[in-house]
Amino acid sequence: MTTEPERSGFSRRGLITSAAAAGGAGLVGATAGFGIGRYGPGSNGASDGDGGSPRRDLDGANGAEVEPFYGTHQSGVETPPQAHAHFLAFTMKPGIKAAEAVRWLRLLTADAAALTQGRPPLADSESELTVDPARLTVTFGFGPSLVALAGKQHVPDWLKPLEKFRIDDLDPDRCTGDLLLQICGDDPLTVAHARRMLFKDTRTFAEVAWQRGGFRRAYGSTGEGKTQRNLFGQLDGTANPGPGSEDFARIIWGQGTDRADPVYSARGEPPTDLGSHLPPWLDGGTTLVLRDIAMNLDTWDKADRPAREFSTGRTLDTGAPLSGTDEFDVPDFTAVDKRGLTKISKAAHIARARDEFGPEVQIHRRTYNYETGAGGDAGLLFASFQADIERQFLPIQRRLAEVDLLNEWTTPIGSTVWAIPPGTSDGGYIGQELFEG
Amino acid sequence: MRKNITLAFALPIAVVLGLSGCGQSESQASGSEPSEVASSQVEAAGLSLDDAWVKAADDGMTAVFGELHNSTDHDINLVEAKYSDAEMVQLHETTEDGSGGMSMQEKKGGFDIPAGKSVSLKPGGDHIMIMGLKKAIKPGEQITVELVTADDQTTEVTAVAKEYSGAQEDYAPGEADSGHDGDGDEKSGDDGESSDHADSDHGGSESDHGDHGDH
Repeated sequence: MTTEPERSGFSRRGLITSAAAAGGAGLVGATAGFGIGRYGPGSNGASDGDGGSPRRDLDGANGAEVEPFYGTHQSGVETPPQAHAHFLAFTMKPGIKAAEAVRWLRLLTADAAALTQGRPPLADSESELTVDPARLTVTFGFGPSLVALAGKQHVPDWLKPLEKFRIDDLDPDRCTGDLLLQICGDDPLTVAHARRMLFKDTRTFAEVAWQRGGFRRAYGSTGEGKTQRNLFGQLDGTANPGPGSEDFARIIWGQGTDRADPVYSARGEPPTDLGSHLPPWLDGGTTLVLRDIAMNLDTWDKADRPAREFSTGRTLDTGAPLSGTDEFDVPDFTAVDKRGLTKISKAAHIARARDEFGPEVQIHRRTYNYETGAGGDAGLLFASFQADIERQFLPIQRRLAEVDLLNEWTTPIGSTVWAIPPGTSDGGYIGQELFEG
Repeated sequence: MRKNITLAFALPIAVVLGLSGCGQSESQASGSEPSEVASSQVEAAGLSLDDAWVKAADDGMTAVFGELHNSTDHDINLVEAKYSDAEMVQLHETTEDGSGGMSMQEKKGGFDIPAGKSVSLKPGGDHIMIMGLKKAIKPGEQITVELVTADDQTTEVTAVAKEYSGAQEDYAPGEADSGHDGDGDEKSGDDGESSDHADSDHGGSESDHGDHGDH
C-alpha cells in the first residue's frame, strides 16, 4: 500500500490532501498513506482526462448527463456503472392477467423513458426532481411468473432459482419477485425520485417483494471506468469485458457484432453462440443473476493483509494478480515463488474463478456495495450479466461454492434470476416482444 | 405511453399527424434534447392535448389533464368535452378558496386557447372534469375524450390513466374525510348527480386503491 512510484497514474487523485503540487519525489513521500496507488492505469490508458490538480466542480457538469433509454438493448447493463443503484423487486397481486401486466409495463416504460432523459413523467408531482438525471437508468428484469402471463411456453428453462450451493444461507424473502427494476444513477436524489415514481405506478399491480440499495464511488471521485472497490477494500470487477467490445457483445448479448477487426481479451475468443438459449423474445436481451452476498467485516478484520491477498490471489493496493504487477496483468497460475509454491494459490478466489476455464466462461459483473450502518449489515449486490447462465455463470459459481478461500468471509443470503428483455423504441414498451410477439 | 395526441380540427389545413411521433412536445426547461415533434405539430394545425392523462378512478369523479395546444393562427374556444362512460363532463377552473384549499367551478365560456399558444390543464388548475363514471378507469388504460369548440368542431384526444392521489381540490372536502374513508367510500355511491362534489369518493388516498385495486 505504500509505494507505487512508477505508476504514471498514481498521483492525480491522491493529491487532494496535498495542497501544493510541488512535484517530484518529495511529493510521493508527502502523500504516502493517502491513497497512492489506489488505482493502476486502466486498460485504456492511465489518463483520467484531467492531468491537473484536483478541483471542485462548480457547474454540476454531471447532472445533465443522460444515458439513452430507447435502443436495441436496455441501458444499465453495458452502461458504465453509476454511483448508486437500487434493486427493487415486485410481486404481482393475485389475479393479474397479461393485459394488466402490459398496462403496468407501459406505464413503467413511459416513466423510465421520461425520467432517464431528465423529464417528468405524466402525473409527476415533483417534477423538479427530474431535472438532473445524472445518468439515470432503469433496467427491467422479468421473473418466471411475469413471463408466464404471456404463455408458459415462453418461460425459458433457465429462468428459475439457481441450484442450491452449500455456501448459501438464503433468506427466502430475498429470493422472490416477478419484476425487477434496477435503478441506477449518479445522483441519489434523482434515483430516489425515480424509485418513488415507478413505485406509485406499480401499486395497483404489484407489491414490493424486496429491495436493496447499493453504492460505488461517488461520481467524480475516481475516473469513469475504474474498477470499483468493495467493503473488503478489494478491487472488484477487474476481469469484466469492456463496454462496446466484441467480447461484451458475445458474452452478454449472446451475439457477435460482425465487426471487421474484433479484439479479444487475453481469455481468448468467446464463442458466437452464447445466446442460443435466449428465446426469440429475448433477442437483444440477456440474463441477470443477482446475488446478495453478505460480507462479514468483523471476521475480515481478523485477517491480516497477507492472508487477505492470499485468499483472493490479488494484491489489495493495485489489484494486480500475485503473479504480476498491474491490475490488468493476466494471472499466471503456474508462476512460482522462491520456495517453489505457486504465487497464486489454487484455492484463491481468482484461481477458482478462472483458471482452466475457456473464453466462454466469462460474465459481466456490475456490483454495488451495501452497508446499513455502523455494526449493521454489509455486503455486495453481485449483479452478474451473461447470455447463458448454464454455460457462463454456473461453472464459475459451482467452483467457487466448492472451494474459494474468500468464502470464509462471505455468505450469499439472496439469489434471484432474471430475464433482461431487449430495449424498446418510442411507442413501445419493455417486454413487447414477449406479450405481442 | 406519453402521448401527444394530435388530432386536427376540421380546418382547411387539417392534417392528422400519426400518433407515432410522440415524445415530449413541449420543451421542458430542463430538456436535454429538443423535440423534433414540436415543429411538425405546428404544421399540423389544430388543437392537441399533449401529454394527456386522466386520474385513475373506480367510480365517481375524475379529471383529465395535459397541455392544450393551439397550433392555428386563430384563437380557439373550447366549450365542451364529452366522455361516453360518464354522466357528465365539465370544463373546470380552480380557484383558491381563501383558506388554503382550492375549490373548483365550471369555467364559464370554457377555455380560450390563443393562437399558437398552450393552456395547461393540471391538478390545482384548469382541468376537464368527469363526473358520474359508469365504469372504472384503471391505471394504464387509455380513454378517449371528445373536445368541442365554440364553432362546433370536434376532435378526439386520448389520455392515459395514472394513479394519482392529488387533484382532490373539492372532490374530497377536508383531509379528515379521507382519513377514515372505509365507509365514507362505500356510501358515497355516486348516483350520477355528479355535480354534487361533496359526496364524491375521490377522497381517494392510497387505501382506496388497496380496496378497489383488484381486477
